[in-house]
Amino acid sequence: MAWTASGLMVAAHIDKWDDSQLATDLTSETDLKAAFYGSGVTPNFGTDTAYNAGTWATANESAGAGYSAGGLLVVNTTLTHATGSMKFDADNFSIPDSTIIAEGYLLYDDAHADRALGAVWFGEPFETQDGTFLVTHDSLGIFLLDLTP
Amino acid sequence: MRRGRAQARLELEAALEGEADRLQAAKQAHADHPSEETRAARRAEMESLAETRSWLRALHAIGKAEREITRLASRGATADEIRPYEQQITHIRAVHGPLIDAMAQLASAPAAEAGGELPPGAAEAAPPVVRGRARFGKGGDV
Repeated sequence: MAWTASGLMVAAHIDKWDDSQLATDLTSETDLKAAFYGSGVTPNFGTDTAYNAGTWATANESAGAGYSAGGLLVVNTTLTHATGSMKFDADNFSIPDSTIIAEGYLLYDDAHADRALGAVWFGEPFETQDGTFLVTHDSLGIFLLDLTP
Repeated sequence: MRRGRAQARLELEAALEGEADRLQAAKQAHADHPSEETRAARRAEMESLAETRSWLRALHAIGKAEREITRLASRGATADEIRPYEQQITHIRAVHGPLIDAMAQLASAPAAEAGGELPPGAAEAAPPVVRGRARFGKGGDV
């Protein structure tokens, strides 16, 4: 198995909507993080629950100069309405002076049990050698949740 | 021309920074004094920053595709090799065309400014948006 797609985590959404009342705030400037992973992960969007659990174990996380385990803080978050969809977005990610390999990242809530919210696949592994690892998000945002017919 | 583009880019970055600062202030104001009014102000700032970022990223993606087309053409690439990048530009313009035109007028910016060649050792991943979709009563057994 391998990493072949991006997606949102079902378990987090169930806990958001039932009486678990998962208190994730997608507009927070302090809670959300993006942890980078190489090709060794196999996401299960139906059952994966958290950073450092299952396939998202730190053993599979990217490692190397310039990158710290746990990943980057996600900042300047926005949660807006876009043509019938809920659009989540944030600033692009930048890891300067890094030497790492990553094929995608896990978006998780560092303030609420490291709950996994979604995983973004880059389509292939990218590698830096003492350079800047940039993630330029799509012009449509990081994710869109289409809630209308 | 190069200097004009560099100047335009600096102006765009400064504008984005200003928007980010206003969003931070609106978020702080809502955290300090939660009310419908401060929530609405925060949402308005999020809308504004989200729109500006969409525009800049669309320009960035167009510029990147145009540079790739130039590079491929200089190598004598076939039309089939170039076509995906042309289609990418067409798609971005179809989605963001009105926003690109409106913002370019406001900022006096070239249509495909932003971004540039990456320095050696650097890498840029540009994943597409993650799409979740609701499927109310579609395709299920009733």
